[in-house]
Amino acid sequence: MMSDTAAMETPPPMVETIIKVEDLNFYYGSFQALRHIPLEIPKTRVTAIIGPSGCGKSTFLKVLNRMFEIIPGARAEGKVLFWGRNILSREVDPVDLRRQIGMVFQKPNPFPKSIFENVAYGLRVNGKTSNLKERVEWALRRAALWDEVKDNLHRSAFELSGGQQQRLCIARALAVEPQVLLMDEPCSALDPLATAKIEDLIDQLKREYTVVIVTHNMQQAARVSDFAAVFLTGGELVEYDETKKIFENPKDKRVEDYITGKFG
Amino acid sequence: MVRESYQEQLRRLSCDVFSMGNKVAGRLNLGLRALEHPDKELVRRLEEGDEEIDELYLKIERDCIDLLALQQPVAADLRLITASFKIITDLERIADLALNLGQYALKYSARYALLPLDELLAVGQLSVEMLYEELKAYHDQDVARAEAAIKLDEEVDSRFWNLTALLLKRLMESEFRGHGPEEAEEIAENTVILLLSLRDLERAADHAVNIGARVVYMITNRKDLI
Repeated sequence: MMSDTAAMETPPPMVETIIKVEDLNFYYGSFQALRHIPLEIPKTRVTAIIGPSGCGKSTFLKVLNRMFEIIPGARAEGKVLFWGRNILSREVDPVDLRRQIGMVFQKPNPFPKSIFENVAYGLRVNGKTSNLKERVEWALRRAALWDEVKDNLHRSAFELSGGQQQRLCIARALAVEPQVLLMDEPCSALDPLATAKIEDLIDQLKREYTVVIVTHNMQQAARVSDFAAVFLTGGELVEYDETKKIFENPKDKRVEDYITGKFG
Repeated sequence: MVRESYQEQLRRLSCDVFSMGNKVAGRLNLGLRALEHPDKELVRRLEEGDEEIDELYLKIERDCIDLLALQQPVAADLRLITASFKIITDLERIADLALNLGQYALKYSARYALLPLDELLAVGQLSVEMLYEELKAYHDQDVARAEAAIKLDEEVDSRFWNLTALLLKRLMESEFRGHGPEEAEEIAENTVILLLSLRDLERAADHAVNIGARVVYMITNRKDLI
């Protein structure tokens, strides 16, 4: 249930929905972090989740591939339909789910292994060991990192710059050929140049993948996303629309105040 | 409340545009006075003041560019800036038209007037009124006022056409009154001045309409009048 139904008068995006969230409630113990969230995430588009600290946007992302399950006392109610199937159901194997819905975190977190092994890791875990070299190269190329590392594949991932490490993490996520890539503030630890490279990469990725990005950076949301969902404190989804509409003429006064910096 | 200095810059932009608008409206009035009572001193003031308008235009334009580049404005803030950016172009054009009026005035001779000057000045007064109303609408964020002032343009257009037709009709009639070549030349020149003045006043009203359309957009995001 939306807090302001007027804000949702615009018809949902006219593209295929890959993930449909219905009446999602989320709790950390007795604390409710998300309230009655409805959201349709369009396929092969970039959807940005924005909102002030503590509004539940990272929590929302963690629900989409059940990463929240590693947090004690956390529980989700409602439905998250991925191609029509409720991924919150116990029948869904979380490991298999995370292969299809990959995640990139705020700080690059490569494994203490070589560049090659970082990308190969997920492939080995998933039993995809045939054509390993080709698959690793494919993923590194998709992550726009290949040209920078192709001659040093066996060096430690820690020797890469922060921006390169983040692209390595994206390559690692892409290697297992997910359909959806969740990004939790992927540029917050990067300098402007590395940020620009990730943003360009997101633009290329959306041709084949669905991207859901959580960002604190309003301008980044405006630059990279096609749709934007604004969460406000209390865990409510206040407005969801094409990014252009959110940034040019938001319908909800609270969204207007938030994006123009009148309240934070 | 956060981003105080940014909010202050937006308030200042709005004040600057309003103030430039009032100066331009004052100049349009001055142009009309010059037509009514041709006076070299008035025309000199119009010529000198034009530079000030150009400077204001450039300053506000620069402020808008800085705000866009540095503050990444969105929503109502973005519309205020883009609307202001367009409005100052219309204001600058109106100021040029006001200067034209002053320059025509120096060549005008009431002796062979083919039109009652009062009627021409009345068209000008309507244009000035439209401009003031649109400026108030901009300042007070008043959509109804902006739309009401836009409607006045129908009256300006209608008077413009009627007076132009009347002027040409009288010119044709005057051919048969047996004027000498010098008088004929003076009549021709006066007619050109009256036609140009009418056209410029009608254009000033059109610019006021543009301003009104931007004000409506700025407040409501409606683009239908642009």
